[in-house]
Amino acid sequence: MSERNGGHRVPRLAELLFTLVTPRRERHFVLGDVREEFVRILESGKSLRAARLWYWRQLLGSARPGCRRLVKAKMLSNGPRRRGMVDRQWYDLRLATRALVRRPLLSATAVVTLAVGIGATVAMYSIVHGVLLARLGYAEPERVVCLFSLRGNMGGEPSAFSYADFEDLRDLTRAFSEVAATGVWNPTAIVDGDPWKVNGQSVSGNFFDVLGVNAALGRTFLPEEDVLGHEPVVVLSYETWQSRFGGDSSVVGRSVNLSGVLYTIVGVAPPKLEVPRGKPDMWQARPEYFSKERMPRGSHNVWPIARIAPGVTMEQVEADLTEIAIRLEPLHPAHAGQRFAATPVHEVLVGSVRPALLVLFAAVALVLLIACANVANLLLSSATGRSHEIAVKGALGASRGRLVHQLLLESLLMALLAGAIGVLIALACTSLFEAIGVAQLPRSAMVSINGPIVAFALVISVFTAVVFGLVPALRACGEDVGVRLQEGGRSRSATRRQMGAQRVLVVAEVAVSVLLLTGAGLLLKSYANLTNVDAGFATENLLTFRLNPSRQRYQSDAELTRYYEAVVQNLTALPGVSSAGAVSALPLTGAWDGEIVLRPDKPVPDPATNPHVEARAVTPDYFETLGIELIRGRLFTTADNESAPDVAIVSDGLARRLFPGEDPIGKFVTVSNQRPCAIVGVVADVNNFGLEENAEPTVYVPHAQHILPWIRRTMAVALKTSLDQAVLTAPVRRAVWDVDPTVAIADFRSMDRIIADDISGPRLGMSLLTSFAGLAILLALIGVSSVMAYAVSQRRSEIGTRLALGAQSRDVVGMVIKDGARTVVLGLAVGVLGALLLGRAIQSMLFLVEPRDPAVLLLVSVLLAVFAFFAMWVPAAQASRVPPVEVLKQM
Amino acid sequence: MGKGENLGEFEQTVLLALIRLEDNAYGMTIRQVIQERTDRYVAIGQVYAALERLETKRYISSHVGDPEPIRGGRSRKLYLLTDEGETALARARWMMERMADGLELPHLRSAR
Repeated sequence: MSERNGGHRVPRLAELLFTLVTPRRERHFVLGDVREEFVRILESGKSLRAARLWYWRQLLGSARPGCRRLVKAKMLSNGPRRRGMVDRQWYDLRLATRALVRRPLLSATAVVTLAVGIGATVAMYSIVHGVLLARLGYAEPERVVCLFSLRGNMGGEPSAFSYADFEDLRDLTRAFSEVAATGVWNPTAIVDGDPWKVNGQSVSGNFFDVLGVNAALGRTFLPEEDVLGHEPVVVLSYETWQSRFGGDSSVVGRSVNLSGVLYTIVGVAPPKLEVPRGKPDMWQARPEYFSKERMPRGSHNVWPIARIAPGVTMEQVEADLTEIAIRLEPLHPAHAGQRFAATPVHEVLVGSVRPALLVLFAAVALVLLIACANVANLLLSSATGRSHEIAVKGALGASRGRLVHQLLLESLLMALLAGAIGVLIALACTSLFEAIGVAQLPRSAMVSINGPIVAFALVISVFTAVVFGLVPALRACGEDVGVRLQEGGRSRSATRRQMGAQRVLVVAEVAVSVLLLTGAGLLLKSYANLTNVDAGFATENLLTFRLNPSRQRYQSDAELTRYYEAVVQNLTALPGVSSAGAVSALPLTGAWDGEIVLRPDKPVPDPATNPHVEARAVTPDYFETLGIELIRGRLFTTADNESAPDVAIVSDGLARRLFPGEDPIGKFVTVSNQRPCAIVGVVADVNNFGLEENAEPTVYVPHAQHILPWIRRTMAVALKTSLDQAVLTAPVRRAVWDVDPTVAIADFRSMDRIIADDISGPRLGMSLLTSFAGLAILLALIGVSSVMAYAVSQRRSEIGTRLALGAQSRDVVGMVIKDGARTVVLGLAVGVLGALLLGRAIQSMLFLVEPRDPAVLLLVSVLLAVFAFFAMWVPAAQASRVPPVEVLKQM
Repeated sequence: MGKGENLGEFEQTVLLALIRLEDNAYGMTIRQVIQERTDRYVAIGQVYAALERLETKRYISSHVGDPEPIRGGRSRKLYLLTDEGETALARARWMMERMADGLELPHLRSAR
């Protein structure tokens, strides 16, 4: 409608809303009236603002009568069937809302219970989704695989390739379109003065092609860039570009000094790129970094990654790998039976945590089911209060289907509201993730509350509505209408079937609580075992850091020896430091770097024994600093230097393996084809890799004797001190940089911290499962209590009669509790049975604990029985306090 | 009486407004006259709700006028009291007077 007559404009939005609240027949006239008055107001001299205000006020005042008339009109109209259905849905929705609002306490309790369950589930799902389900940022990620060497006598543990093997595989393979080498590379970067230890990867030029990713800035490597002699180039990770280079887009083409070599930055990788084996700050294209020239064939530190050629299946890949391995066998007498294996990248990244995450997700789903059971119980209890209302509706002509539909709609509304609140709860939980160690999970950067998670929340909400709403709805609408009407509004007695349904729910809740509490108990015990592991050395009062003197400045072995001697000397001289030592890798932090240790008198190893051991170069005071026990012979001294005879110390396990039944002192061993060393001492076994691993056989050589040159450069330094890390930071820096200010101090942390990080995974699992178990118990106890209260209220007349006839209140309480106890005990039994059967699922998360641990099961049962007893006792005791007179009056 | 329904308070007010307005009784004018004379805020929707009820009871009749520019080209719907309406109104007022007859009721002073 155009606005003629002076161009006065009625507020468009308000006019539109007016059409919504006015019955169709009248719209024409109503709009005309308000427009006429609007114009007259303006003509009478009032401001446009006043007129618009008047218009809006008219709208608001007309909304209520209008809506009421519209509803009435729709109810009475005999419109065409399809439109009637939509109207009816709308009407049903309004009815459902009103029904919920009419019983605020019930609705609020149900919504809160569900919201808690849904919130926990959504939070856990966000972790599962981010870690396990989110797609990797590669092209066709399922075709990218990591390759491992399985050396038969290493117990089948997947381990690294040697560079020579990598080259052979790359040249011989027909199953892969691209094969790239990757390996650890830790140069020292000098950016703005202070040296900074880079956590990098050295890769082949086609590395990014294997992944199928493009650079976010600049470019990735060119094929010719990994050829020996090419200009050194480097690609930065996105996060390093942001944090260390300020996100400056002019960084491409700039040079950066890495361990004395000038590299040109050619590009930046895409954000949140995940690669196997670490989170590198940058990549260099120099695979010959690992080549024969630098390291002998025996040294294995290349981790190849490959892309499967189009049209090739996994079976063909495996066949190809087997064929190549067989062809290479004659070259490796020591590796008889070596095979190669390919594992998809995704599996490598998350395979180790998948079982635990699935267990945790199952646990939280059980918690949600308990919440649903509670709400179902609530609805069943309250159904008796509504039976009259429903009977009347039924008598007035509503079909059973329609009534059930109505009740289900109420359930759906509650569930959707709970779902929305649950998402908010999950959002709040994400702020706790940091504290419990979610960041240590692989792919943790992908964990967030986003679209797919919210969609999941929606689906879950609808699902729970069906789960908790269906049975109560069917029950409420199924009873005989005539009987209900006759009873009028007075009767509140539940049918036996109703009570039966509630008992089943209680049994289920108690059983699930037993299950979860048992799981939590097992994990707690497991965690306690972990923290009590004897790692073979004294873990307290140790501060550690790593140094990596550059190749440029320290080219000869002698220079490295002098460097570390000076550093250790300076550190020992610090006040508060009782001793200091350096080692190529600290306990609990080693990576699989197998060396081959043989007896010169037995050059071909016994095929039954595994010749691979861990090797460490150490300074003389190392053993004392770490508190590693000397079992036989002696430790290294400063006399064991380059001009003295070559010596070695072996761990107890290695001594037993190589010299079973003999005294190893004075015997010789060779490590990876180096000069033979005489064994001068045997020390206790030490956990090289992690608290959960076993102690590995280890051979130690003096740092000053230049054996095993490739493990002498990057060393970890340990200080025995009772002082705090904060206090020692500056003195340590001075002590180290006095010797050479260009060497970066990396990973300065206490051994306690290393241990905490090592067990952060089990700690995460334990925290989560314990929280879920706690939640489950809380909900289950509420369920037990409310069902008991309801049952008691059903028996009020009986209780009142007994009390009136002279029964003691404790008799009454006893009677009531005995009744409820049967249900609880059944629940406990089912739960214990379930725990015994399902225990195996949790096996991978346990450390030195059997899933069928009887102590834990017993403790859990007793604990829950006690809790349940109290949950039942409270309502029972309350019931027995009601004066019998009251009860009798109501009969 | 006819339909057996009593007149609500607001409905009576509307009928009285129709009498006052004679042949100029439509939505806007009815609303205005009620608001002015009773000092009570009236929304147009309320007026039409009452008019619909009255028309259902056949106490009023209506006819549609010509389109008017001031109404954006829309026409007015004019209302008139029917005979039944007059009777109903008279009865309602008679009832009130009979109940109040002889009682001392507090005086409502004029608000103006």
